[in-house]
Amino acid sequence: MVLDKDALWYRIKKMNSLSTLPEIYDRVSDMINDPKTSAANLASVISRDETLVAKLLRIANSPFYKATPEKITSITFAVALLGFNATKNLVLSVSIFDLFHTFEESLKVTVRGFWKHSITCAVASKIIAQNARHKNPEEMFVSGLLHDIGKIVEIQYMPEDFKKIINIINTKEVSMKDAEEEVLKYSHTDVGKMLGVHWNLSPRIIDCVRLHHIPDKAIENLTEVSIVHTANVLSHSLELDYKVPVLNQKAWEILNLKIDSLEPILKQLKKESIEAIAVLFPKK
Amino acid sequence: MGLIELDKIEPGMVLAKPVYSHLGALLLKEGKTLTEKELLILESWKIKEIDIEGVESSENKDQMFSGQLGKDEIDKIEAEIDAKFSSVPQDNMEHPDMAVKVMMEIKKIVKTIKVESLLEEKKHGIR
Ligand SMILES: [Fe+2]
Ligand SMILES: [Fe+2]
Repeated sequence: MVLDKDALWYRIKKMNSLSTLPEIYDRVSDMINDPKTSAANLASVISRDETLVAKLLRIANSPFYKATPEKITSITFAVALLGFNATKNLVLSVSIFDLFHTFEESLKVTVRGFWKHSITCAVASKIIAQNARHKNPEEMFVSGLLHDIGKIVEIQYMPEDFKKIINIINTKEVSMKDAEEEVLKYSHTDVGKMLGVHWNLSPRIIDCVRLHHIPDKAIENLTEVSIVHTANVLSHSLELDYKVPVLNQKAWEILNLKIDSLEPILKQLKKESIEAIAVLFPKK
Repeated sequence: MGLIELDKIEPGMVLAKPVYSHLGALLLKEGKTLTEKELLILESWKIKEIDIEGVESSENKDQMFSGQLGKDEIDKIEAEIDAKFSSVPQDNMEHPDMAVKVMMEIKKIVKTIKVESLLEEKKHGIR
């Protein structure tokens, strides 16, 4: 069954497991929007979830995520050091994996591949952000992590269509986007955008999801979109599982990176993405 | 990138690392393309080996990886990368478009990384 965009939007709203982000993320978001919230309040709410705390601290101290040299030993310290927004992004980065779990056996490999690519792109976005002196590498991490989130909706809710799409990519050598349009009439960037709006993510993150294949269409968040676009190209270059997409000229120009920085960036990406996958999406 | 003995060096190869004299003076900068002149310098300073760029230039890769990776293994990596980067022009072409140049550079780096990690895996006996 092929859904048009309106029907899809309706369906996204009805998907129970996707209709809300992990509860803890919503609570953290609400608290951050409330000017009365103190760092101690926020820390105490997060601290109630022990598994989450363990994951958060582990990631906050990992080289692939870390933005500060200090060792973060408690959530209170994390909130104080990172600030509210980065804490929120960190919570989102670790809890997003809990949202999607019911997959048929034949899609397990695809799903794992999907998360590996997403995590690689998250790490790449952070590395590029740091190289381009962007002020918010943590937000770029989560933007990279979510850039293809529409694909996981397709895998989970339209598995037959998704298999068709993969088939087209493998036989006709076309891009994911073209194959999706052929089967679904829309692409993972449209689905991802709807999900982002529904989840109330920041407009910057939504733009990265929506425009990462056409960064020159970005108006307000050109730098952020260009970071994720370039991160996606670098991730595919290392993964080599699909055709590597071509870098957009405007995106490259706006980042103002030196061509010489590519080698250290790619080497760092290779190393840190392996670590990040092991921490965020361990093989069970 | 790989250490090459001086008698296997040929003009046209590119230095992956700077070359210093035994007294520590910089003789040749990293990225320098070697001509007869540079070869003479290396010879007169009695430099034994230097680090050469570019696993993708087929003239030197066999020497660089002899005893470590076979030519067929490197060819396989190159073919795979060429296929995945099929929209990117071949290495030896000049291109005016910056984004294309960047893609060519990425492709080149990825080749080096893949060869290096294959070597690494072999060393630790993963394969
Ligand atoms: Fe995408
Ligand atoms: Fe992607």
